Parts: sequence; C-alpha cells; structure tokens
Amino acid sequence: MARARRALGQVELIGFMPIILMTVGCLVILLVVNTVIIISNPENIRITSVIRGALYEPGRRTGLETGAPFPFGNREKEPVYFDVHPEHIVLYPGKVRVTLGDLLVPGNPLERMLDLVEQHKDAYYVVILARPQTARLTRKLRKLVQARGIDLGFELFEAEREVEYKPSGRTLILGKKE
Amino acid sequence: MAKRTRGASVRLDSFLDIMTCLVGVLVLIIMLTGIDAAQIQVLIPTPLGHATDRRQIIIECRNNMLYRIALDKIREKAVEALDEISDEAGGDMIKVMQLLAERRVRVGGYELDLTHALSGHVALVPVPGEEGYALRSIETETPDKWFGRILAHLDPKEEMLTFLVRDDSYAVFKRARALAWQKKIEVAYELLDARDVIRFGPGGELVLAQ
Repeated sequence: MARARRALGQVELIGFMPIILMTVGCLVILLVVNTVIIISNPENIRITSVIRGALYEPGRRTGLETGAPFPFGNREKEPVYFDVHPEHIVLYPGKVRVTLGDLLVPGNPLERMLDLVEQHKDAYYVVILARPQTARLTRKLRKLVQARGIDLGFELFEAEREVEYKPSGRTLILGKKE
Repeated sequence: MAKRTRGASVRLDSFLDIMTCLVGVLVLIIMLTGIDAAQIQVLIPTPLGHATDRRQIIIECRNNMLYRIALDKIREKAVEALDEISDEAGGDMIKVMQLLAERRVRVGGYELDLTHALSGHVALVPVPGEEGYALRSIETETPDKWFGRILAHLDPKEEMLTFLVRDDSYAVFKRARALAWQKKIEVAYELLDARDVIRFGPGGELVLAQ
C-alpha cells in the first residue's frame, strides 16, 4: 500500500530530459546567431551605402549582387555622394541637382557641400558615382576633391541605375547643416 | 534480478535541475543579445581610394571586352623604334619629327603613336577590328581561361589590376573586378570616353586603388 502511494506521488522526469536538451541546443544556436550579428559590427557603425553588391546586371541573378562590395573599402566615414551625369550632378544627402552652368557660379551647392565636408573631413568623405560619358567631368571633380584633402571613393554607375539612398543619422545632420 | 536493475539506474533529477537553470540563464542572455543584435545594421563598405605602390597590370575595357596593355613590352618597342628613328634621321631634327609622326609600331592589339615621344609620352591607338576577351560569366572563368590566367599568376601582395574603362564596357569591367576582389586583389579604375587616347608618360594622375 505504501509502495503504491510512493509510486503515485513521484513524477517520472526522464522523458522531460530530451526536451530540455533540445531546448538548450536551440538556445545555443540562437545565442551564436546573435553573437555573430553583434561581432559583424561591434560598434554599430552606420554608414550610407548605395552600392550593395559587387555586380549590377539588370534582369540577371549572379549571386554576387548581395556579396559585400569593396573588400578594401571604407567602414568608418560617412560618404557624401556626387552622382555625376553628363549634364548635371546630383548631390546626396539632399538630392540637390547642380547643372554644369551652376558650377560656374561661385558659392554653388557643390562648393558649399565641399566646404562642409572639408570642415568635417575626419568623419565624412566624397564618393563619386560616374555615369557613362562623364570621364572629363569626373576627372575634374576628383582633382577638386583631392585638392581639398578630402578622402575620395569612385564607382562606375550605370546610366539607367537608380540611386537608392537611405541616409544614416550622421548624413541627416550634414544635410541640415547644408 | 529486478533489484539489481533498479540499483544500477542513475538519478537524473539533480542534473535536470541544472539543465533547467541553464535554460533560464540562456533565455536571459538571448534576450539581452537579441535586443543588441536587433539594433545592429549590416555594415556594407563603401568605395574609398588609397595610394599604393603595387605594380600595375593594366587592362582596357572596350566594346565590352578586355584587352591587356603590356606596358613593359610597349616601353621596350618604343625605345627600339626611337633608336631606329634616331639612326635613320642622322641628327636631322626635322626628319626626326617627321619620322615620329609617321612611324607606327604594333604591340598586341595597339599601335604606338610616337608623335609626342620627345616629351616622354607614348599614345596607344587601338587596332580596328581587334578582338579582345569577352568575359561573359564569372562562374565559368577558370584559371585556364584568359582572365582567369592573369588572376592566377598575379601576386596580390606585389601587384594590382588597373582597368581603363570605356563608356560601353561597365558590365565586363564589373565582372572582372568582382573576380579580382574575390581573390583579394586590389583594383584601380579610370573612366575613359569612347574617343579618349590612352597616353603614358610623365605628369599623369595618381591612380587610387580600391
């Protein structure tokens, strides 16, 4: 009688053990994933990148579109983009359109942007997006940027390609100053 | 017999307690790291040029094809041609100028224009109809193919690739660059208009590797 009571009062927990072990396994995987995400960008630096892949081929999946471009590239400074078209330049942040005629006027938006970047060149730099038929214009722009001691990046950007610009917090600050 | 079996069984209750505590701790850590990880953005590097003293291997991208510019061979041929012109002219400067303007030396898919050779500049004129290498796919480019062979023989610590890209050849350039980057080779590039002449000599611009 006593043995039967004991048997009734005792809960068998052995079956619960595999469940606990599997839970621990899943939790460890989750922990590893979280850690990898944190390690990839430990200081949570945010920079604005409009080029997200090493390749751009419309209508064709190459597998490299999402592969990190610029293995020797910048990971610290905030880029200011000059999207150079044959007849005008678009400045990001702000999406300010500057025509070639505007460039002749002293104090034009491009000059103002360069002044601003020059003042904060430890935190900002210029990336030129060169569309086709802009070789001479981009060469002049590069000289202009380098003469001010501002760091420079350069990318060839297809004529039809859209600039998908989502500014980070730091760029917004620069945009407001401008 | 049944008694022996009961005696040999292991009591796992304490171990289960430890495991349950471990689950609790892990849940707590995951919650904390999860909050941190949710705020972190994937950092995509942006282009940034830097000066380099690596030896340049120059490739022109034209008509959506790749053409190698063998600079050493070009220099060698240019010096040979200048020596010949000097001998032919026999010290007559007008004849030297005339011969420089007329002489064409072929190196690979290019002709050397020596008109400005006296100032140390050599211009490269592409030979019409010359076929380059059409790099159509990066997946199929193996070390036994033209561009794959260049990459295979290139020493990333000592050498780099410099692309001179015409307006019509962005696609082939990006394929070639992606392959170079996969092999951790530094790449520099310069945009050229369709009719721009490739000129080598003093006073050029510093090419920044990216």
